[in-house]
Amino acid sequence: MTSREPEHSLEKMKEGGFHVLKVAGRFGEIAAGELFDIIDSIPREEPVILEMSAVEYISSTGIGCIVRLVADRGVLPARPSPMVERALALAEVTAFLQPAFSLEEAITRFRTVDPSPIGTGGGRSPFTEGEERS
Amino acid sequence: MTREDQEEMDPGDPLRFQHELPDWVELSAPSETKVVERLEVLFDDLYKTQIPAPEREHLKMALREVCGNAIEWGNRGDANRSIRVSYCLFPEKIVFKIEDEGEGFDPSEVFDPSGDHMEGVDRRIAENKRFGGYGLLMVRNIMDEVIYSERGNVVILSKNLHT
Repeated sequence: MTSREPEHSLEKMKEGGFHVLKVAGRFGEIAAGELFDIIDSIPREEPVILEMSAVEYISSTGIGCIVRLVADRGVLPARPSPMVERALALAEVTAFLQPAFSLEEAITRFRTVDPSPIGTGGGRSPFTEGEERS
Repeated sequence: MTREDQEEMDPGDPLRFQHELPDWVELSAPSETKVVERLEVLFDDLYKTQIPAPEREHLKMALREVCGNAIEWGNRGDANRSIRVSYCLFPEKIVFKIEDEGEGFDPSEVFDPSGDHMEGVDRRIAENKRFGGYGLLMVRNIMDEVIYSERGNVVILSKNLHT
């Protein structure tokens, strides 16, 4: 028997001029640590979308990671897989995280807040100032 | 699978069965992270015909969180300490009992992040803890009953099935 915890992948790409980090497989402690390292390498003013359509399992640690990324970095979770949707609901974080259900929606939200793409000095939280998150 | 079968087929399997009727399983295992994945596989093997997949996924999620806590926080990841896990399947209910060898804790003192996620983040940072803090909340939302022993190192979980 082998541990399934390391079975995940992280892919960094750009979509519509925004950073998109795609996490797949099992989103637990190891994936969360790697994800933080990648996001730390991205300038804070540049918006990041976290794409989760291929996540098969997310733990409490993975959920805590997303909450912290949203709170600290304004990362926008997007395309949660059905399993992730259920887990976010069980952890009562859906209203706080406000995941986008498509990349287009995520990009639109960022552009609505600040239309400047990466590299032109833009990038803020996709949430309007003072907006209720929970 | 009998105990002898298991030991012959996979001598490296960390699970040690004490009682293994299909509707009553008791086992022990060292405090290693891989044990949690193994318990999930066993749970699927045991109950894939009796419990529908969506419900089974939720139960595995609860099992993973509680066993992970028993290993990481209860036994402090000490592989010389064991966890003991029991599953009892009744016609309309499943009951888990998970026990660690740690000092226990008071679940009422665990911060519930659902009321204030930002405070939850701030507390974890201040306490130098890694991300998380949602396990108990998820378990309480999945299961119908969650009962801790007075010391806090034993927890019994029950879930009504097919409701």
